Amino acid sequence: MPVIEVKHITKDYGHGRGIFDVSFEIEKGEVFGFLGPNGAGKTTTIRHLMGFIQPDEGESYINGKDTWKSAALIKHDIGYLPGELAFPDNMTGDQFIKFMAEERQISDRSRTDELKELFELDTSEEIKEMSLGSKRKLAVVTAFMHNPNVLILDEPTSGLDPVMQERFIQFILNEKEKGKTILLSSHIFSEVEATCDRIAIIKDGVVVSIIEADHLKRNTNKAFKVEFSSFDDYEKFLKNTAFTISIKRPNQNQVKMNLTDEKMQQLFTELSEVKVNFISEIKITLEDYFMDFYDRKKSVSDGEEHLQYGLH
Amino acid sequence: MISKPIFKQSLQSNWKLWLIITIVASTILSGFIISYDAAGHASIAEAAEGTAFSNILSSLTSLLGSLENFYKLIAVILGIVYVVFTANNLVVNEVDSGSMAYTLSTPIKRSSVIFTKSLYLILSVVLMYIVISIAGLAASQFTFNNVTGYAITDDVSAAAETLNHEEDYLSERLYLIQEDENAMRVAAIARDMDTEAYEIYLEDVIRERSYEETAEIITDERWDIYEDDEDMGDEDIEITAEELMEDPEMILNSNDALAAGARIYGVSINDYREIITDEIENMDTEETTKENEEAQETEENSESDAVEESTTLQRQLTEDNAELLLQTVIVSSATALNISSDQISDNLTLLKDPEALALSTQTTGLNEEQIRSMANHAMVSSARSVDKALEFDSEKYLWLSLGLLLLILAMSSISFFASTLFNRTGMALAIGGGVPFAFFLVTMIQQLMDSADGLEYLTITTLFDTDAILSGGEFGWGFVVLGSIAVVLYTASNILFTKKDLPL
Repeated sequence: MPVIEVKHITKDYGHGRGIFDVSFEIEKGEVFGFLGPNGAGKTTTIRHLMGFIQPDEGESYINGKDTWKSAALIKHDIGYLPGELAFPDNMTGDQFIKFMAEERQISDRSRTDELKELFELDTSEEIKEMSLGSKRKLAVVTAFMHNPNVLILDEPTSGLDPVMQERFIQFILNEKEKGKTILLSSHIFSEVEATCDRIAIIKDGVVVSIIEADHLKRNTNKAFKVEFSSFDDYEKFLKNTAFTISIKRPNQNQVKMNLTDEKMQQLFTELSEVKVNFISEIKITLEDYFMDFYDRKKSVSDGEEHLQYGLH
Repeated sequence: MISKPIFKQSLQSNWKLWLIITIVASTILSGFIISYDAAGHASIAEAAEGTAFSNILSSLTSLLGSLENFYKLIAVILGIVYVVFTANNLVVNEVDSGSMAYTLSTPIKRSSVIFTKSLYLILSVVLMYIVISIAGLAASQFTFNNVTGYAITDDVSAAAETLNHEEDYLSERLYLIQEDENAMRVAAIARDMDTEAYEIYLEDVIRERSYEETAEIITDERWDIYEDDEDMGDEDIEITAEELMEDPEMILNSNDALAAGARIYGVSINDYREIITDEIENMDTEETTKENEEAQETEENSESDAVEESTTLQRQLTEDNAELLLQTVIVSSATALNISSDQISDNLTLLKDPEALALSTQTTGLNEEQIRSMANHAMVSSARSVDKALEFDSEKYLWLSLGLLLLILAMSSISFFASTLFNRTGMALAIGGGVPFAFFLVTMIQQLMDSADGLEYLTITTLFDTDAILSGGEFGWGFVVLGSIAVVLYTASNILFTKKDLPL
């Protein structure tokens, strides 16, 4: 049984805003990325999971319980990191941690201390005096102080410096190893790529694609760029090659070509006939894939196609 | 149902405003009470006596009546400031800023979040107005000693010094002043009277107090007897001092009442029984003379609080001409003594000056005895007005305090409802603060303008009818409506918050 289940949720705010027929499932121990630009509907979807809003249509479940009707009950096992950092007024970090511990009715503070140490957080300060990074860390500490099995993270690393971002990614990977189920909403490709098993891409309130991260990493389709030492070599290669050359740049003596792993040997055989300046692989990143949906306004099938052939 | 951490957090982030408003309101109320000018208010009451306003004014010319502006305006606006900002802080501010998300990411139910917050607002308002009321009680007690006992007037203070007693001890044993010539003299001077008038005054006070205390005891006894009797309404069971004065026989039937009356007079129970029996006899003869008089004259004076001595001048002094005659006497005396009549009015003992008396008898045709008696009467009634103005009616004070509390609770329910209805602080402030403030403005205009027809229907402060409370009118329904507004809106807020979408 999936830990998190979203079934055909629609919340229409009018003027094309909202989310429409959003569905996905997250299995136990899975890290699920939720990728999309601001305003695409990531936070709206998470609000449903947290029971903050009621769907117009559809329903969502966490651990088999309805997230609206059993909103309070399911929170025992959820760690939620809000996207916006708004803390109660006039509290120090320690007071806020104590407040949250009382609200969660937990007395064991060992996990809290562990997290404080991990993220190097000084909690004696007034919250409003804290830097954005410290506030983010404080939110992290209070979200996971009760060691929940389901983590819902809304843009968790914004405001953290690169070192802390890296540490946070490491933290997520550690949690994943412990078998926690994680929903990670983000618009930062690197952290999604680094942590997620599956990635949903949301655009204008609609989930346009759910891809396996492994599919990206273990893609047997490769793209290479080759530069020849002279125009003669360039010409010679083009004359003899059995590959389809997607892009030709005679001025620079460069070609780009697509091939699968099985054809790799043949490429090197062909290249051994000519003089080569360099050969480099053109990596297909999540970003490339993502951009297909956003910048180029392409359809879902176009994006799939590019993933297939790695054409860039 | 109640979340302790949320209650604690509400307290932590709102106690400062609570404290400031409570201190300010308590200080203002205490200030009003401490600076209350009993003599000034008493003179207004006297001036209005007999006019159409006397009924209205009699309610205003008491200590509590002088607090109307506090109860109608000052306490209301301070309460509004508190409830509007606190209601906003408690709910919509947390929703708008997003900090509510932290609380709702814990296993605390929404219903207990909102219930705890409404409970905090209600309890803090209740506590605020309890503190303010106690501050008012304390101020009145320390300034006039009129809450737990009889007000300490200037004569009691002066006599206490002479007799070397505590003031409050003496204020309950006025007969001690009567027994000491020296004390009588200083006490009389302290109240701008001569000993002759003061003696009448003191007797009058003691007599009235004895009736008040005995009436109270008899009422208590009747409660025990008739409590379960369905034929007897509350009004029937209760015996007022006035009823008892008309029929003092009831006192003779109660040992406790006799003991209480005797204590006031400082005499034995037997002696007191004697006093009451005499009074009953007097009343009988008075009635027969009255009947005779009525047979002779068509118009007759039946002024109830007239001092006994005045019966002799009733032949020539009637209610209609008494005021006129007094004015004539004052003017004559002023001429005789060559001072202004205002000075005479301030010190009526001057009427008894031989020169003044001579001229007064000439101009009015009354004899000296009658003028002396008239002067005494005037002095005693003016002193009694001051005493009346200094009385602290605990029951009315309780109703005023309760009415104010209900009004502020109703205001708070409006703000709280707006705070749960809206997701944006600005909107919640506009409605949740604007509506109560509009009510306040209407009330202020009403207070400033004498005739503001129809305005009373535009504000819920009308439901807190201070005039009715002070004059003993009907005010209970207003309280019920105010309470209902609070109950309905708080309930609606609680339901609404558990069902609404939160933009967190």
